[in-house]
Amino acid sequence: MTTADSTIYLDHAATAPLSPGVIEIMQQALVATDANPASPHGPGRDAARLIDAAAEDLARLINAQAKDLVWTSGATESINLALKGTAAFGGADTHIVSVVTEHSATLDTLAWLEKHGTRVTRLAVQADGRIDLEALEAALADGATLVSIMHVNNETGVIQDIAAVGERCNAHGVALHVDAAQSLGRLVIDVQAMNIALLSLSAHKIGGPKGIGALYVRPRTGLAAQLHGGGQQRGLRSGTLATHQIAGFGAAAAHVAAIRDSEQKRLAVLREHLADALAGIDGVVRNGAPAHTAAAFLNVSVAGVHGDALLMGLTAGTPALAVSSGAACSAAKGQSSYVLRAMGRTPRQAGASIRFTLGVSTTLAQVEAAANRFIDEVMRLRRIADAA
Amino acid sequence: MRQPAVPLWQARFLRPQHALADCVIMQWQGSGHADTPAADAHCQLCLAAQGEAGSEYIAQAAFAVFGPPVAIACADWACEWLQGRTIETARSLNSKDFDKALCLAPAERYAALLVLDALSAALADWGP
Repeated sequence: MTTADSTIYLDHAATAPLSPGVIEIMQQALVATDANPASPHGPGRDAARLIDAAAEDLARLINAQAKDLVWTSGATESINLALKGTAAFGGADTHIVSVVTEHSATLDTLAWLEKHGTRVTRLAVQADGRIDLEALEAALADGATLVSIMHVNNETGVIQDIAAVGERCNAHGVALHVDAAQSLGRLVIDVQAMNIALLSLSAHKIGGPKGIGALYVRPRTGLAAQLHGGGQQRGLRSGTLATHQIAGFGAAAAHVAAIRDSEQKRLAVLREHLADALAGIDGVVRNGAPAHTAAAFLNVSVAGVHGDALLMGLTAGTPALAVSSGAACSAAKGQSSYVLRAMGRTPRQAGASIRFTLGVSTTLAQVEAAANRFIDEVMRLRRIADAA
Repeated sequence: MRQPAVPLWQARFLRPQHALADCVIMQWQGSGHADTPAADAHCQLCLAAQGEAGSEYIAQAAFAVFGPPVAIACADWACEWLQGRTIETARSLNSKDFDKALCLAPAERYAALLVLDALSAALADWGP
């Protein structure tokens, strides 16, 4: 990612730089193909063709049919449509099973649904951040309607075994919704093989533009629309389609499909290089086992430094690191990362955590510079705290 | 009032001049500790004096802080302010002085209180 200064960008889970070809096709859609894609005339059909091509590219990436994609404004809207749409369709008997470490887009939506009468079960996670499949089995047996689970955790990169979850859901005849915002383009997603009924996707995490996402909806999945109007997209999400955004999403999907496997291998090597360098400092704990963590992610907790101080020291110092923390809140106020606390970390450990996420723009030189900068900052803050 | 995008105190956090770890003084006439009520931050202030009894002044002040950036910045500013001032003047330091000097946001004012608590303990500990 290009930054105005010498900032080292290691925050690809927040957003990724635009992929090659995205700007060009968006510009084409905005300038040369700017008709309404729902219009039956020639210019409208030209716009619709851009959307169809994008849908094919995205569908190929998840082994779906293009016609089963619903375009949304992003993963948050997709998740809202999946959860609220399921509850609205299922009525009073709806029972949604999810996990305590989900993104707030899921947790907050579930809390809202719960207030309005939907039954919600939240599964705990084990120390490695993964769910206990036996606990899932018990919840499924307890009359679940839908299981909603994220593929890759946005803070830790921990991978849930979606194939195993899907198998169990299928055995119980329960629909599975997967939040794939962080796994699209990083892991293999096969909605057929994994028995996924609903899949939430975001463009800007894979090098597409912000403001566009998609929800894969398996045919015959019970889902009620949450946006009403012109009846576009089979009535599931009304509103004129944003041709340029969708075209950009498609271009990013095509690009990431071509580089995914080699790129993830490269990032795994860089990530371990970074982890090894940080392991040289005492009191550094890695959150998430490498074998079950997406290659781009490294999340560490650091003893002896305050989380807010570490984050500001890294992001505002020189050279600056564009990284993030689970939560830049006071650890002792109980506002530290709920994901890390669910994995058994103390509030102070959860508060002093940093998430590095590598991506296409990351180089070995950047990783080495980031490691040195991180070590220097931890030492500086520990020195300031010395005798305190 | 709208807070600036980069807090006024940020430079002090990034480059504090009065960290205890950087001081060569081994003998402090006063040392005090304080914690925030939630115990997520801790501050130690150390004071060294010069001058005759009765007209002593603070020759050097230093701090150690485990806490958020604003607490480090407040402690650093307090140490700078204290140097050269008498004990009586030191007792008059209050949270408004921090607000004025560092432009603290309301949510950051607890950091000034943490440092003032540590100063109060250091002055109570004061002795030759």
